[in-house]
Parts: sequence; C-alpha cells; structure tokens
Amino acid sequence: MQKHLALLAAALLTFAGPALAGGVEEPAGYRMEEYKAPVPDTLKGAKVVDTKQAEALWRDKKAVFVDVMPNTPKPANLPAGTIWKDKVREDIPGSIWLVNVGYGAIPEETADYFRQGLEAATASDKSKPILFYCMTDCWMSWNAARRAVEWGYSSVIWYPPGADGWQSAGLPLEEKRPYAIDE
Amino acid sequence: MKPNILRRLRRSVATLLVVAAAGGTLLGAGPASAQQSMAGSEKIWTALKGDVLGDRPILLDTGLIRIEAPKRAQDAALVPVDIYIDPAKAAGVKKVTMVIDVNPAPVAATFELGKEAGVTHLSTRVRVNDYSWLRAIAETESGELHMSQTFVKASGGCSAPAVKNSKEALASMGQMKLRQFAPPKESMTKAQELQLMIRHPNNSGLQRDPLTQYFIPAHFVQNLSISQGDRLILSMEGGISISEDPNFRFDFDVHGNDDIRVEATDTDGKVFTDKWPLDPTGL
Repeated sequence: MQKHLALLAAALLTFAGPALAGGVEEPAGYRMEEYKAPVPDTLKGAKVVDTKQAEALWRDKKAVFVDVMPNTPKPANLPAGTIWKDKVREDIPGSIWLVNVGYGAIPEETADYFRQGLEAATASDKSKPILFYCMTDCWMSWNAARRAVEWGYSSVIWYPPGADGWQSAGLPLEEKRPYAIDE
Repeated sequence: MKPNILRRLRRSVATLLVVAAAGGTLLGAGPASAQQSMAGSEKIWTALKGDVLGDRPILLDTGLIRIEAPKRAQDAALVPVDIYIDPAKAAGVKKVTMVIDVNPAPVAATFELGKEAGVTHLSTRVRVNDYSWLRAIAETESGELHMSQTFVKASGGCSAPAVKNSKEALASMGQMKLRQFAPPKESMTKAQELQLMIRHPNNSGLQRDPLTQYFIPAHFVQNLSISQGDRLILSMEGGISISEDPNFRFDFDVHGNDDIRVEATDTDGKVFTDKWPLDPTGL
C-alpha cells in the first residue's frame, strides 16, 4: 500500500514537472482574460526578477522600467459638465507608464502606441534591458513582456510583484501620468 | 441559458481585470489591502464635494435622508441602492444627489422631486468601480443639505461587460415597462409604488468590446422624467453609473386619475416616451 502511495506521489510529481513551478503553467499564447490572477514563475525568452534584483537594476540604472497598468480613458462623448476624476497611479520612480498594452489582444492603435513608447524609452535600441511590471498577481505585465520578446527586444525582464510589491519592500513610488504620444 | 452563464463569467472576469485597473489608487492603502479604504474614499469625497455641491455645509445623518446598499455587492455592475426620505419632511426635499466617490464620474444621478409628489422611497441599481462610500444628499427648499452614506465593497462595475449583446440591446432600446403596486392596506397615505424599467445598454464608456478590443462609447439615459398627467413625480439627470437596463422603483402620492407618463433622452439625443393608465389597485 505504502509503496503504491509512493509511486502515486512520484507520478504526480513527475506530472507536475518544471512547467508547473509555482502551480501556474505558462500558456502557449497570451493570457486573454482573468488578468488579475496568480501568474507563472517564468516567461519564455525573458528573465524574471524579484524585488531585490529589480531594485539593483533601478539603482544602477541598468534597465528601462515600463509600467503597464491598464487605465480607462475618459469617454469622449460624456455630457458637458460631467465631473470626471482620473485615477491616480503611483509607480516606480523613473518609469514610463504605457497603458492598456498588456491585454491579450490589443487594437492596432494600441500596438502602435506600445511600439512608439518602447522606442522612446529605449532610444530604439532593441538590446537595451527593459523591465515590465504592473501589480502583484497581474497578467498584464506578463503579456506585455511577452509581446516585447515577440517584437525582437532581446533583453526583456519581467518583475511580477509590481508596484505594490515594490512599495511593500519599503521602496518609493511616484505619481505618474500615462505616456502620451505628441500629435 | 448557457450563453447567459458565459456572460456572467465574462463579467466576473472583467471585474477582476478592473481590480487590476483600479490598483493604482489603492497603493496608499498599504500592501495588506488591495482595495480602496473608507479613509481613501473619504479623501476623494473631500476633494470632490465642492465641485458637486459648492461650499455649503453638509449635515450628516440627520434622519431626513437614508441610503442603503449591500455591504458587499454580488455584482458590481448591478448594485441595488435604496434611498429613503423621512415622510414627515419629504415635502421640503426638492433634490437628491447620489454620489459614488471612487467612480471616475462620481455623480451617479441627480433626482428632482416634484412638488407634492410625496416621494419617500426611491431605489435603483448602480455600477460601483471600487470599494466606496455611496452617498445620498438631499437638498431642501430652504437650501439645506442633508447627507446619508453607506460603504459598499464592490469593484469593477463601470467596465463590466454588458449582460446583453449589443445587437440585442439596440433592438429593444427604449422599450419601457411599468409595474404598479397598491399601497399597503394599513397605510394611511395614498402613496402608490411604481417600478419603471427601461431597456437601454446604458454603456458607461469604460467597457471594452471583447471582439474589437476598443472601448465602447458612452451611451446612457441622460435625462428622465416621470409624471402623472402634468405633475412631475421625479426627474433624473443620470451618468455612467446607472446600470444597464435602468430600473427605478419609487412611491408617490396619487393626484386624480391621470396617466403615468415617462420621457427619457439618451446621450445620443434619442427620445423615448411611453404612458400607462393609472391602476389604483395595483397589479
């Protein structure tokens, strides 16, 4: 009986394998929904860092920091006089905030905005290290980092804990406005 | 049945998504709390109230008005809200403003109450974007402001996808249904209850089209007036926070036998009207 249990346990462990590290498997494509959920420990083609490593990159200015927290823009056609309050975003100082680029599918305009934002942040150097983040348990940064890998950026870094993980380690945040392309 | 469940599922997915979207504001609340705190919501209100009500003093919890909502909402896109006005003082109330602090357009609706309409209870359903105080502020004839507030734990309501698909919603847009309820037998007043349901997607402008990935433009009932004959019972100026298929239930004092008449105008300028004979016995 015990032997059987041991075999069963071994079989289960084998089945779980390295792909299930942390319990969440990397999807074959982009994450398309339920973005606020546990994330994998890995991202193919990118390097994953913890807060300590991210802090070192930030202090030494060894990577461009890209915040990809989504944001809902003010609808264009609200009645005159509508009181509108934009959300206040606080993120890692020195970051560029590229909004809505981490959805599983993005419209062409958003893809253009993302491309231009990345080019501006890296001075069009695809080998420049870029670190992507949003918040803890958020797939938006996973998707965005994956997209950058796909677009040929060769030194993509993913920081899963995001701005809240950064803050809870006692590190500073600053108020940020979304990156806007000058017309 | 099944597509419905799927849509529900999508909605809860979107709710999660917007928890993520809202996260930015929540950081001040500290790592233990992922949602807006009571204090955070209050801070937003403090910065906001001058824009909504001017510099007038606001009297809190005087008993003149009371707002009720579930402490934790099951569906952030359909949070039921009840507003009660002290019947002894209802005649002096001319306006009720409903505010949801954390919604991007925080003024959910402004209701004007008809003179002698006798409205003492009004309920509707709203979208709530994050943990927030919901507030009802009554303005009296003499210009006093009385406020009641209740804290609701809900998130993602403003961008939750519609329950109905857009074709379905547009096909039935503007259709109305009125239910009439007789006053309770023991009641000493002539108050009767009405429930008005309007078919309208009431798009908030914050919902993403799951197929095109674009934001769906705001499209909602902006003005609504409900009268008996020529006497106004109540009118509403609405915003993005009123839920899909707006639904209002309220009491009023019947005057004569005139029809109940409703006119609604949406943000595209479409006008919808309907009327029903008064049914004094209810349904």
